[in-house]
Amino acid sequence: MTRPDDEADRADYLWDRSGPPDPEIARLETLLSPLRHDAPQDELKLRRRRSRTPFVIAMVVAASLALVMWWRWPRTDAPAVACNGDTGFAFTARTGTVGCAGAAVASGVLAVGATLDTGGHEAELAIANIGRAELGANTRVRLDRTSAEHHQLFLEVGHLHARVSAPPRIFAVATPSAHVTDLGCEYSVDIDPSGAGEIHVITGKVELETAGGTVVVAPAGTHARLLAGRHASLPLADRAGPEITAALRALEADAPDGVAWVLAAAREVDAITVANLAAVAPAASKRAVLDRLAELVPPPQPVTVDQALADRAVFELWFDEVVRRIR
Amino acid sequence: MRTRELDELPAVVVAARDGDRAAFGELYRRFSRAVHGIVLARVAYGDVADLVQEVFTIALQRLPQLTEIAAFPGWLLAIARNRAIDHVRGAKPSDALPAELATTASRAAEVSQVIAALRALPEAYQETLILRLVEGMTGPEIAEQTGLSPGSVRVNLHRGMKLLRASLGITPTEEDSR
Repeated sequence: MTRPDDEADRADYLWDRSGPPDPEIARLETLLSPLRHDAPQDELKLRRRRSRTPFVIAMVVAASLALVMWWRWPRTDAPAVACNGDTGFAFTARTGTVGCAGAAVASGVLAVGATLDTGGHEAELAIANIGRAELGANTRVRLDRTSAEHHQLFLEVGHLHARVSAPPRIFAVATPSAHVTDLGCEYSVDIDPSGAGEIHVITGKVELETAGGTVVVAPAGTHARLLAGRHASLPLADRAGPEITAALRALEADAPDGVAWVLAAAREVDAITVANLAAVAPAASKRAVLDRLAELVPPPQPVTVDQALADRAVFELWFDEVVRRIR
Repeated sequence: MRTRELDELPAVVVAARDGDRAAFGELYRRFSRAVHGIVLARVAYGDVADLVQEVFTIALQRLPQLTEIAAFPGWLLAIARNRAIDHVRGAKPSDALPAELATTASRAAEVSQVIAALRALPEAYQETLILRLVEGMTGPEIAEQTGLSPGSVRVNLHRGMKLLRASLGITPTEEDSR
C-alpha cells in the first residue's frame, strides 16, 4: 500500500489545496464554512479595545505575509521519522526485534509520528517519565504527541497494558473505536483488526469518550467494550452477571426498551453501569435511572435525587460513592 | 510562514507569560482557530465561542506554570480538549445549527449530519478533519498548531476522509487510498 508520506510531492487538495479541487471536499468546505471561527474578526475579550484602523492595517499586512509565505511553502516536507533519536518514548523488545518506522530493531526511541509494530514479539515502552506500557505480539502503536503536559499514543491494533503515575489527563490512548484518557491508573486495552476492542481497568479510573462526545468513567474493577463506530459502551463491573451484560448489549444495539432492560437487570454490583447510564440516557429517562441508582446505592447524605438531577457537581459526589462501593 | 512563526513562537510565549497582553493576543490570533476546532469536535456549536474564550482565559492564568515553552501548542490544545470534555460530560451535544447560520432547513439538517459523522470518527481523524474542513486550515498549518508530525496529519486526513465518505455514503476517490 502506498504511504501518504511517499507522495508528498503530488498535488493533494485535501492536504494543502494544491491541484484541482476535489468537488466533494470543496462542497463540504462550503457547507461547513458558517461554523468557522474567524479569529481576526473575533478578538479575545481579554484584550483592550483599540482603534479599528491599526487593526485593519495589521490584518492586511498579516494577510499579505501569509500569502507570500504560503506561496514559498515547501511541498515536500515528509517527516524524518527516526527510531534512535533523543525525543520520544524509549522501547525494548523482550525477544528478537520489533519494527519501528519500517526498520527491525531490538530497542530504540519511538519518535512522534512513528509507528512501532511488535510483529511476533512483545515489547516494553516507556511513557515518557510517567509510566510504562507492555505491548503484546502483533501490536501496532503510534506516538501522536509528547510534551510535559500531554502524551498520546494511537493503538491501531493489539494489546497495550499501561501503568501510569501522573495527574489526570496527562496521558491518553486513542484507538479506532474510542478515546481512553488516563485519570491515573493501570489498565489494559485490546484492539482487534476491525478497530473494536475492550478495556480492563485494574487500578484508578479512566475516561472513555464515546459517540457524540459523551464521556463515561470506568473505575478499577470494571471493563468496557470499545465498539467500532464509537457507539456508547458503558463499563461493567468485572463481577457483573449475564443478565446485565445481555441488557447492555441490547442498549448498545439501540433496543427501544434498552434503558428499562438495563435498570431491571441491574444489581448492586452493577451500580457503576447505572451511574454511567445517567450520563448517556435520554433526558426523559434520567429520573428513572437515578431512582434505580438510589435503590442500588443510596446517594450520600444530604444529597437527594432531585439535587443530583439538577446539579452535575452534586451527582459527582454520588458517583464517587458508587465507585467506592466497587472496591 | 511556518518557519518564521515557529521561530518567533517561543519569544511570543515568553512575552505573554511575562504579562505582555499584546503577545497573548498574538497567541490568540495564531491558535484560536485550532482551539475552536478542537472544542467544536465535542461541543454544541452554540457553546463553542464561549468555551474558546474560557480556554484562553485558563491559559492566561496558567501560563506562568508552563515550563517547556516549546510545548505551548500541545499544552493549549490539551486545555481545550479537557475543557470541552468537562463541558459535555454527561450531556450529548446538540448538532443543531443556529438559525442565523442555516439558510434553509435542509441545509441545517445536512450540516448537522456531517458534524455528527465527523464526531463519530476516531478522535485523531475527527479533530484533524474538523480543522481542515470547518476551520479551513491546511495540513501543514494543522501540523504546526497541533504538534503532530506532517506525516501523521496527512495520514489522519486521508484515512479520516475515507471513513467520512463511507459514513455519508459518498463514493470514495483515488485520493482516499493514499
